[in-house]
Amino acid sequence: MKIGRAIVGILCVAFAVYLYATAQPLAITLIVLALGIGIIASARNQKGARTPLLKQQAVQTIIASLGCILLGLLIGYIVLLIINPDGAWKALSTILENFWSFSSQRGQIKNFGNTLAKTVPLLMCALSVLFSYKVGLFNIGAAGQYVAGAGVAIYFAIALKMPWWVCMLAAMLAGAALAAISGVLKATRNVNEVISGIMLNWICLYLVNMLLVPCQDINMSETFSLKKGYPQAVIPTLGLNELFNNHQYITIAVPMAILIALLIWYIMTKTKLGYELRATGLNKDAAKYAGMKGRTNIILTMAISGALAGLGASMLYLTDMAKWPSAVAAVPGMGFNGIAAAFLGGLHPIGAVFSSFFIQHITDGGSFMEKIYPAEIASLVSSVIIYMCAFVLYFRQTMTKAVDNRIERRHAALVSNVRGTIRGELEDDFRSVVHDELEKSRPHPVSLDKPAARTPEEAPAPKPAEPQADEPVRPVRMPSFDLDDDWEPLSGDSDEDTDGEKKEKKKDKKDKKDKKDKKDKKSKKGGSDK
Amino acid sequence: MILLIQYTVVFTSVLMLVALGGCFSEHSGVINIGLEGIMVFGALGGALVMRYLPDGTMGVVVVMACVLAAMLAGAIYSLLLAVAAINFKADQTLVGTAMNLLGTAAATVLVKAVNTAADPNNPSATIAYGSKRGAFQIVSGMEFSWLAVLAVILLVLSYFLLYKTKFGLRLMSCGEHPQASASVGINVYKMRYAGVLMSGMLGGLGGLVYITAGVSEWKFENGVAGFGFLALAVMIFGGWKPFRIALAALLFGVFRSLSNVYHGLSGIEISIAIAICVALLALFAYKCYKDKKVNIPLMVVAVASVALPFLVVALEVTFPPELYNMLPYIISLIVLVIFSKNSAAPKAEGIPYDQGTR
Repeated sequence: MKIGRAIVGILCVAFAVYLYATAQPLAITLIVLALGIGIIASARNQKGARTPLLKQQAVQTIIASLGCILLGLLIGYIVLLIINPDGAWKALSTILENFWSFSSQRGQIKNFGNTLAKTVPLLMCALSVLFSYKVGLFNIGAAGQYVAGAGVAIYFAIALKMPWWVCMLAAMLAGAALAAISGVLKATRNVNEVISGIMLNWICLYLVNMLLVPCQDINMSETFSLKKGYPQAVIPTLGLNELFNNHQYITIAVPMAILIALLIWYIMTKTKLGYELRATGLNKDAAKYAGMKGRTNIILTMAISGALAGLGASMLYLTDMAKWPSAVAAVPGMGFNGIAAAFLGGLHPIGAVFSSFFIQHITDGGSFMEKIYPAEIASLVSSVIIYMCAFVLYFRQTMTKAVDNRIERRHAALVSNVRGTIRGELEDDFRSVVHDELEKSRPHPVSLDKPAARTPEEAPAPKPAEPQADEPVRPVRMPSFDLDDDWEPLSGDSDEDTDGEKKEKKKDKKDKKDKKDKKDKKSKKGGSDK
Repeated sequence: MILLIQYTVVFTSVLMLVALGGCFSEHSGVINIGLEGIMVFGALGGALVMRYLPDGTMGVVVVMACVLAAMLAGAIYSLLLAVAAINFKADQTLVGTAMNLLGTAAATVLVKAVNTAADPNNPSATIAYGSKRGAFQIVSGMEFSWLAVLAVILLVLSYFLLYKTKFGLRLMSCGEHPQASASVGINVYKMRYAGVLMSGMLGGLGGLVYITAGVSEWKFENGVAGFGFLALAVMIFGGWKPFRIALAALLFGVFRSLSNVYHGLSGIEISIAIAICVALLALFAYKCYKDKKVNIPLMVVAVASVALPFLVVALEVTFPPELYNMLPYIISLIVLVIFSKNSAAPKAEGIPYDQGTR
């Protein structure tokens, strides 16, 4: 951890928040935010070896997510242009500005509060999806678990008149129980959790429709207002709403959701359970081999994941912001949007906080556009974003490969440079060796240590066999290696050599051979990188 | 009673077509969760053509044009899945989910844009068919559509294509063991593209059948109310085999129509419908028994658990219609659990094909 970098990163994030709060263009805010998160992430990775910035997972994720967002917005913009080119840019900026498009501060704060309150369930669903995805389970059933949570929370509040925290717990348990069915089926009968999740989504939707019949206000054709009839079940605000101009839907659910995101991050990265779960997700068989309980982990993961979705639903429905209409015909999209937020946030709990806020931000922004533009453009944009998220893995692999290639090319260039230098040295050595040999073969005896000191360095290599310096890895086997035998008669020729001298020379030769081998290996290594 | 039959025919043909589509895609090795989105797009294509054809067009032309448009729209939309899942090895569940969300959103945006362009004061997402809808009816005034006949023809065709032609057998081999198929010279990518595109065509046609039945306009905000998912259930219950899919579609179609017209029915009519359902279930149980794929006690329990609610209904205990909506999913789930050990699902479905792994 590099403290300096971390601080710079945090400052960046703070600056992004400031930019956001002063209604600067969202694009700049996003880039600054991404930069900040990137710097923080890169500060974490500073142990020992330096990973190239573009190869770091966090950086790749941020680039990919930004790319997805930009592509989604681009497609949205094109659609707007086709519908009516005159106001298209204004409409797009309305989507991006959301509540800042209001002129009065009151309106801004009110709508900011709305967005924040609706972000809470979305964030919880995103956490639910990403938590199970880390274990290799695609919890498409989050939508159904959300429905179960909503139904049970409302039922406990209205039919049983329970206080809010009991309702919340019940919603959590309902979500967990529903998800655990998927988990058990997966663990014991190997039923694909996606298929069972889809089936349970619909089963649960119809069950909740049935369950909430007695809680329906006939006049409004939706469930009774909790604020009016059942205030004990409304989540307390603890004065938080005063920060938002007495916004009625800002409750302790907002900080709770963020704390839960942090908690999930902690569980996933810092605890034994999280380690086991991640290991199971990366390689089920290896995890089992290491003695982890695969089945229990699958069920546990699904249960936790379902509890998150259920809790998220209770956090919305117990603020009285939303009510359950009678006879809902289709599974609410919240769980599916949670999938979007989870993947856009790079499957990281902290990333999910930002991504779910972003998705809710543009969804709300869509409703403030001029009426000639359909509000569904916002959901079009967010669904394009999820679609793009499917390519993120491929994008990451490509990016890693590109970075690796570049590094390798650089290494190869380095190696050939080094080799060129070595070769130059070798030539010098060769000359001096030849020189020494010539000296030795003269009639008068030579001092012992001189050839001994010289010869072991390198063997003589004949000039013509010497490859060009820029020729790549091929000459791993130095030609000199083969020429050792030629060297022998050269030294043998010198009749003046005593036995002792010969012995010593042979030993030297051996040394030299070893050294050369090492060198060969080195160059081979450099070559094989290519 | 006639209403119940009409609904059953419509729902059965929708479910059959879409489930057959899913069947092609899965046999080629790609899980198609995005059937719902494909249906919406097919419906959109058909509805737009119907809207823009001049009023006096011949009935045959209207039907043909709508069918072709729906198939084409579905196929084009399914390219989204094909490209992502086959070329980019993306997560098929994620792509499917995105397609479902995108389908409804894009269709709504498109229809609203078209409506607003025609009349600035009409920002609705509704397409009205006008008098041209009559072209689909075999007997005017009754909801027996030519499309139902087409569905049956396509069922037979699908069976022959899958089991009696070289193409079909190759397609299925790609869903079982793509590497083995590739080793004998089959182009797995092409086969998977074919499978997904065919699922797009059939799914799109299913969408058209769904929106032209019994209504004179369609609100595209509503999508297709979960029929794509129901079709997945049909496909699973039908064991990925065309004729069983048809039977399963009939069974689930009866359920769905029961939930729709429940209030207008007398006890005897409901009993008859239920008798048909139980008979169908028994047929399934018998087939499973003949296949010796399943231990019988479990099957008996399953059939009993499904049949019991009907007995209760027959004894004049009123049940909310939601129960009938729920039953198809419950049955499919039970079937999944029972068959999980030797599932009929294509072995390689959902796994991106990688030439490198052999």
